[in-house]
Amino acid sequence: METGKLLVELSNLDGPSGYETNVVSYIKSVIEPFVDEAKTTRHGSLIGYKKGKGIGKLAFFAHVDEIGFVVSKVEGQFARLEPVGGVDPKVVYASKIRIYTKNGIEHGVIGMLAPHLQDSESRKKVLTYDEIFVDLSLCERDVRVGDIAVIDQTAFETNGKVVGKALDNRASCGVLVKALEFLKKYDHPWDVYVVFSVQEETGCLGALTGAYEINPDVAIVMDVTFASEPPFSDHIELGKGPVIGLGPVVDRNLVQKVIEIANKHNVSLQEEAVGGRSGTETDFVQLVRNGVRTSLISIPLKYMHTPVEMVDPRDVEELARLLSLVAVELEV
Amino acid sequence: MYLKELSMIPGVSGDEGKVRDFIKSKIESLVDNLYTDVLGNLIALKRGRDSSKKLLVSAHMDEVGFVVSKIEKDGKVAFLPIGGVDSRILPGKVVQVKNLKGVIGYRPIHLQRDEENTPPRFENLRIDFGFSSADEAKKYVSIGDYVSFVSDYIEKNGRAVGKAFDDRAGCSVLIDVLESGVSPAYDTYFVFTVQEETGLRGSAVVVEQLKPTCAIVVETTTAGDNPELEERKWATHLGDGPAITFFHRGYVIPKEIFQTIVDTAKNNDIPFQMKRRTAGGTDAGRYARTAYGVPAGVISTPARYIHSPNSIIDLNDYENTKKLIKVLVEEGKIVEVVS
Repeated sequence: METGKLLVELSNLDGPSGYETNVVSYIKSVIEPFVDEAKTTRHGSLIGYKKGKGIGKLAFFAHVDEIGFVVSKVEGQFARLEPVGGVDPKVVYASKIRIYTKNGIEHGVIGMLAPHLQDSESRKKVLTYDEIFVDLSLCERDVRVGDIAVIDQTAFETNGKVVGKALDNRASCGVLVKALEFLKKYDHPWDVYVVFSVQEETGCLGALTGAYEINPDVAIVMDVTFASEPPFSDHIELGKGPVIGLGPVVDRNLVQKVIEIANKHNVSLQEEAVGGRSGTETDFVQLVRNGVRTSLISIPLKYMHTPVEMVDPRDVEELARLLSLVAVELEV
Repeated sequence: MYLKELSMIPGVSGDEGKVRDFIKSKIESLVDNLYTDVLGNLIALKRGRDSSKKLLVSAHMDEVGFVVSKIEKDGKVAFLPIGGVDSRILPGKVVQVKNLKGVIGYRPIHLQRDEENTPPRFENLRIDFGFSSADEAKKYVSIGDYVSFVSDYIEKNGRAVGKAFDDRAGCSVLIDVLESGVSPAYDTYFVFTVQEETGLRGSAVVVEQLKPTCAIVVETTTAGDNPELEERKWATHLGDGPAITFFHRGYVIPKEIFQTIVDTAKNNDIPFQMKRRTAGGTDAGRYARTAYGVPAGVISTPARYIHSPNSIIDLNDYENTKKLIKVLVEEGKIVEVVS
């Protein structure tokens, strides 16, 4: 499938942390032709396995979950929300949401007082989840406490970029799908595991348990990173290639080898220094069992955790190409 | 009802052409005369049984939005509001220029420091169309281009949600009344005005052209009936029927017009409510203050979250607004009480 279209489809699937089933079953159906085995774990993560020549276990990780909401209170025709993961309240005012009720999907609207009725005090306020309310008046079915919801955003392509919700981290899910597509053509010495993990946004549970189960020799975690954000991240741009993480949370020797493979095959890499904590699954995967040699490679993304995240599909394709080359050429 | 089609058309104040074309295509076969005036107002005449007096019924075609003010070196686009838009609702929204979609991005929550508790302001927001340079951006976007919200229309459970209901709901009501085969008591002008949101500009030239006896403005008005606002501060309540205005900014509705509207609703068993706040103005104020001054009344469909991409109306309120307007046009009493 063409990469832009794949990313649009992945973005349009709804799967907040803990409710990733839709995304996992979609990805499973897409990767099944490319792998020897695809199974889901006890927590709901999807692990694909493609046999190599048995020199070791190489695992690629990408989380499938997205940030979202849970209905925390219902007050007649209105409801209150709590965020699942880090949803900035400032990017959701006056938006439609999709609510997953027991009996089907309903639309809610996050209301906002019209300017005509505001006063000088209310105008200055940043509303928090204590004040934010959802209008349920379009709902035909009952909305109940515990129902989950996401912003009602449809992804689209514009000037070679893809825009939508949940591209953190569906962009990386797209990378793994494309990498498996490439690998179909190669004999690779490494046994390849691809982990589509659940519940990253709420604490990296899927990667942690997935890594334990696989017990890999080498792991590469795929996530997204901030592009064009001064002062620390304005050197990273969309379309300039995947971003390799450098710092204590990654294995220096492994990272060097990955960079060499990238250089050899003209995969442009951007670089990002990572402090003591990357905020990705890398932080956890590295510490599983006896320790795992881990690398972190990210897709540059603008406006993270808003409904209008933006990526360049070329970065996704380049990272997929690099991963398939790693499976073929990596020596440790 | 053409609310869905009308809602989806971009038509920010000053750029109402597409809305006007749509309305024109729907009504030209239903009226006796139709023209567009110098400012862009669409004026349609439906002859009445009696031509001794003239009634004006109007709704505004424009919606709030933005205009491109600057193209940045990195290809992003700065913009200014047209009409009253709360800048706090903008981060994370999709907008369009011509047929091109772009987004109003925002700094990720992970990287916010001072911004965390500061309301987003126009000067800090940019539209991103995915351009990587100013040169690329300038091929598609120019300073002065109009920008509107993008929002899907949904109708469910007796309610509708979408953008620009203020005042496309009013426009749709007028089209419906014409399509219903209305038989006006007096010669009636159905007028679709421009630039209401920028200070009642289109309506300023209507009275001089038509010299009507009386005017009725069909609006979509603020509700405010939400759990964060005490009930005593609500302006209207969805589902309680059309809102009738007694006073708003700059104009006290003449008692006899107000009373005729109320009596007509009562006599025809049409539910109605009073607009209980006086904030905001309408084209009625302009009609009353222009030239020799035309007395005017205001009837509105209540709407939640107006001036945002997702306003909600109750479809019964819409239907009842339509009924009330039709009866007022057919009975003509509202014209008689003035003269």
